[in-house]
Amino acid sequence: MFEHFAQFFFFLDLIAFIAVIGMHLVKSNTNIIRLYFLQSLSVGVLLFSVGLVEGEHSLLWIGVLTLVIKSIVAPIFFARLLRRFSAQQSANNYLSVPLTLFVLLLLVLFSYSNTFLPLGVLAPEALGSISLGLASVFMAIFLLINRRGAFSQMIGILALENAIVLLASFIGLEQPIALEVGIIFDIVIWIVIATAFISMMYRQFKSLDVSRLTHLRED
Amino acid sequence: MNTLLFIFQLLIVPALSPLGIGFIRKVKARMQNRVGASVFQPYRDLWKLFQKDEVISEDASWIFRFSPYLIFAITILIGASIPVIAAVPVALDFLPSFSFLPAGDFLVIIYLFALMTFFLALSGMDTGSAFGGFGSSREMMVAALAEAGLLFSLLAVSVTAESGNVVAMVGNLQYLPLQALFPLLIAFLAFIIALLAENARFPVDNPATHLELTMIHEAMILEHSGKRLALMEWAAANKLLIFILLAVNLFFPWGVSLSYDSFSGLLVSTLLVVGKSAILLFGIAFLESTMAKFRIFRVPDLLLTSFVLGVIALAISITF
Repeated sequence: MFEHFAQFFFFLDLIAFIAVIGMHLVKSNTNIIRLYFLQSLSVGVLLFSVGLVEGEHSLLWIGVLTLVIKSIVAPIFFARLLRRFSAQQSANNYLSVPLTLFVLLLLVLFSYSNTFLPLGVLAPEALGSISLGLASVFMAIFLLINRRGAFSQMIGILALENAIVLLASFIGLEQPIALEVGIIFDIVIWIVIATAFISMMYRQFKSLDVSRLTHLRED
Repeated sequence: MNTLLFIFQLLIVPALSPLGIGFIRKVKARMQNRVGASVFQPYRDLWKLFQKDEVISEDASWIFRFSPYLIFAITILIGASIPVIAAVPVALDFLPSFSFLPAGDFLVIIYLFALMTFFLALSGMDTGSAFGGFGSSREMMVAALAEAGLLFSLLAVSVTAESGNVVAMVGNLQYLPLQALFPLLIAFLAFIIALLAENARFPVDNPATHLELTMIHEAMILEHSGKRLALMEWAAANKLLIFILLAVNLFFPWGVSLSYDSFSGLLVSTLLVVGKSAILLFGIAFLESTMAKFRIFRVPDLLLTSFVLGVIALAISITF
């Protein structure tokens, strides 16, 4: 049963992968939110459809919950946040675009190299998806390192979390429903805390650029 | 019968290419709330140019006089060797060894285009006008950077299809499972960026202006007039149609007929190819209506993106 839908799952994996590449390239925060929406959508649809295919109710519920929280509530929340700070445009990299792309290339080649071949034992039929998921994880970590804006870094962590969920679902590491719901709840709390920090930072420094934090201010 | 198909294959691209340009202009006009000229206007423009007298600078060398013919001939050759509605190599009845098959190798196609760009740039510089010079220098910069993306996106297709010939690639890809074609989505993005750069389209060049700050392709053909200008314009239209056909037939190979025998099969394949090409042309027109041209120093970023996407697609399709 699973094999018939492998194509569809791989397609969703690919969409999430392209979304993470896009997050490195776009210049505006609004577009990063759109790409995050795309990535979350593919993760949610993937969990939901795996639940349908395998007939597991718990995965169905988690898929729906992921769709609602990550691809509807969070993007709307972020978009309102950006409008409040009018920070739609402040997304910069430390590295230039060519260097960023070069690093992305190296990360993809690394995750497709023999280093991670032992992981294939876990799910031999989905080796391509596992490599792609690993590449997404690495690229999301690099997004955290490379971005200047606090907001993009926040999206970077969420993208990393999405990539890990994707990778885990391909390897077949499903957790009991209580734990999965707990993780999603954690993410909601995490978004709220990060938003609070970003608001405080904006009030103090009038900017979301983390490289400005080196100059202390007193007033 | 084979001879007829041979002639059909030879003429189909130059016959339809002005229509592609006309379609893009019509869509752009509609998006700007204008009625716009008829989609057949480029044919009339070509006809008018062929009637006109020519002015050639007395400093022009043989390169200036010769290159329009060479450039046009190259587009005809490539147009004849790519699959249009059927992925079948054709040859003359009385001369079976004379076929366009060898020119259908994707490396040959890329380097024939490079030869075309080379002579275009040379003829731009030949008369010594300042416009031609900067047009050529910009064109060579864009061409050198776009080539990597073009090469690697087609290489990813070639590796997936296990063939180097575009005609065979289309046939082989149709037998692969859908899953094996997904990495080609990334290669398709790379190819589209290379397509826009190679054909002097937004966001690299503005095809509708003669403003010295922005023009690349138009600057090179500024000194041409009359019949030679008509050939240059026609060759540019052919090149765009060839890229469109490569994009729709290689990356979305479904529906391309694998023989010339069945009439209904050819009908379906014609409808599909026309439909897919129209969608892509509409996409280009939409892009040109909604985005601004890049600064020339941001163009390398875009073309490097194309290159890296091509290599990523290659890496995924090799290990797949």
